[in-house]
Amino acid sequence: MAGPPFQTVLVANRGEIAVRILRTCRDLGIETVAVFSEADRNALHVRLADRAEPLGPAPAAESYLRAEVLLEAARRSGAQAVHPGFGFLSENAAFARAVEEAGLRFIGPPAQAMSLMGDKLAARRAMREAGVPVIPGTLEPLDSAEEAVEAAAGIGFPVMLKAAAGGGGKGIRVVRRPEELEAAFRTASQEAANAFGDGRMYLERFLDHPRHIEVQILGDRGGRVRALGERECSVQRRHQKLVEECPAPGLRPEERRALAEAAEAAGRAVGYSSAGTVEFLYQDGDFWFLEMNTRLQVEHGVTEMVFGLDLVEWMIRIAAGESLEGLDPVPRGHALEVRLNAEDPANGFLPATGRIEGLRLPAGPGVRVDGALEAGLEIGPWYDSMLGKILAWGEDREQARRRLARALEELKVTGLPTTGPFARAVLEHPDFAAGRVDTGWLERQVEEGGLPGPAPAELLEAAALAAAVYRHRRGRRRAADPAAPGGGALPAGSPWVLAARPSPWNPLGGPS
Amino acid sequence: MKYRIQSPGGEALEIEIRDRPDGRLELLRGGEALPVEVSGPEPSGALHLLAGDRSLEAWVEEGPGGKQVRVHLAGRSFTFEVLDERELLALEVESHRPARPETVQARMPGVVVDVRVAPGQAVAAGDAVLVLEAMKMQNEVTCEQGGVVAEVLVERGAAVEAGQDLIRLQPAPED
Repeated sequence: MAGPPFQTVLVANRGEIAVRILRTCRDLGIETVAVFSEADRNALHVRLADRAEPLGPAPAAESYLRAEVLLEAARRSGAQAVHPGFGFLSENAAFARAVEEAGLRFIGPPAQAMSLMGDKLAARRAMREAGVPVIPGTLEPLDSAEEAVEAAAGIGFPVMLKAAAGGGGKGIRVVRRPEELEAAFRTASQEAANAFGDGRMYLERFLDHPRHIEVQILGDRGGRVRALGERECSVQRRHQKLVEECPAPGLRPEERRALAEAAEAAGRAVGYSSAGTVEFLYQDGDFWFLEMNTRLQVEHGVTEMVFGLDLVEWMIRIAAGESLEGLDPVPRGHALEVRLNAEDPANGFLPATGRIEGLRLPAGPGVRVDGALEAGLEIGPWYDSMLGKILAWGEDREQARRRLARALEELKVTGLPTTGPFARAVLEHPDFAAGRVDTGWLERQVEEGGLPGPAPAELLEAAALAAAVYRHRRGRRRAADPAAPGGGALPAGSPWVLAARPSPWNPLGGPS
Repeated sequence: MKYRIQSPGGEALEIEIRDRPDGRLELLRGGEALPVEVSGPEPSGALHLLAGDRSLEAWVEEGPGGKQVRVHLAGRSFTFEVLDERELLALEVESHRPARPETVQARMPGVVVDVRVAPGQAVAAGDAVLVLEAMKMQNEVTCEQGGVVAEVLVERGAAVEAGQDLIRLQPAPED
């Protein structure tokens, strides 16, 4: 039996994705090194690792974003390779280069593919050359608002004004009329300059009801690129995906083939290796290249469930030089994922901080949970609000949808609000059940009150009864002190209540 | 003890709960009595009710500020205000008193990125008075009752803790 691809791997990330990568490393017999900020001393990814290296204070700029500290930690721990996860430094070409220059393997794509795809305009040009359809628009940066007005006339209104260095919805404007373009150009360009240090802008035709469909690819270091099916991620709020699935529902087989071929061509055109995602917008039978994410995606798990392989394992094998020759996995069934964020949908999706007081994670047929959640975990204000993901696989989409809805009914989190109940409402909405969703659907539903929608009367009544019984049993909380969640009345059955009772061993009561 | 459970949608349910000698509870509503065996609430919030052969599990916790109760049931979350008979009576008395001054507090730790009001300015219930950045997101902080700004206690750029006082209001002068 061959040994593991690497002896030791450092995971340069935190939270659920760090846990996800550590698990595969352990499956492969690889020794793991976690890194942590001061805020993450007690985090699950630190506990599950063989070794752990401190990085510095809680803010990401002083910990998870410090390339030189990460490299020093890798050197100290004897790691041969670094997996960046997603977010933080995962799409930072300079970091990828620094890792390789330090004599380590970067478990991700080549730096040059990353920089090319990170520049949206350079990517558009490269894709056009490779024969991948791009959204009609400009291929060179616009020098001025006047130039934008001229270019827009050729494209036709409405147009999308986008930042060349863009990402995360920043520096994007929909411009509906020519007279609005000049002002929009100035504000969007300023926003992009502030966010990315690069105010260059370009124009694209505006699509009014696109679906977000992306293709997972894997490339090896020998130039082979394989597409592993599509994922649909049209359920979005402010460019943040909330529900994802594999495959995209309702496409014709020739459309799936065309998407896969376009994604493979995109990967080959930039000399891609490792796992990556080519994102497309799809509308009325046509599709266009949107951008490429040169890293593992949050939603990679749905592809894994349908294709029966471990993408993190393949990233590691590819980094160690393994070939994709002979890899030809057959997709089976359908998988859905919802993101569990510490946000309050009833309060404008306000991020929540606090402590997870109670937790029951779902399980059972077809269900997978990727997370770093534990009761007692403190969720601070420092990082992303995503706590984890709940996934379900089924023989078909309907079975996967029912399993995931059932899983979300089992899920219980107390201590802070999550997007779990909202995601369950999405799954049970008739539009979603029918696979009739575009990227504007979720926000329209929230505006119109269609989501989360009213609860059935008998559930509302049962919940009200539970609330009254709770108050009856626990009594009124004594102090309205927000710093002490659940504080005031002692929970019945708490060990402190028992310890406080006088007993032959502790006749005065109080902790013995 | 009698309780009134109010949903944010305005629905209210009134119920009386009595402790029975056998440890069970008796829920009385509309002249009907329902004996219920109760397990919990556990420290996690888990609460289980057996009413006859009907099994009902809900996880219940205090809402923000200790006024509300949040119930997680069958994949849904409900927030109620639960008042017992003493509190209903106190509320009745309170409603005849003049309005009390409001202090706007931070609901989460973060950094003040904008202060939108100045002392002397009149604000209405629900107005955004300040913008707080937490978890890379900017969030508007609103006042509940409104009034006239008496004092701004934080400056732009200040880091604040959850529960920290931000802005003190005094009741608007009556017309």
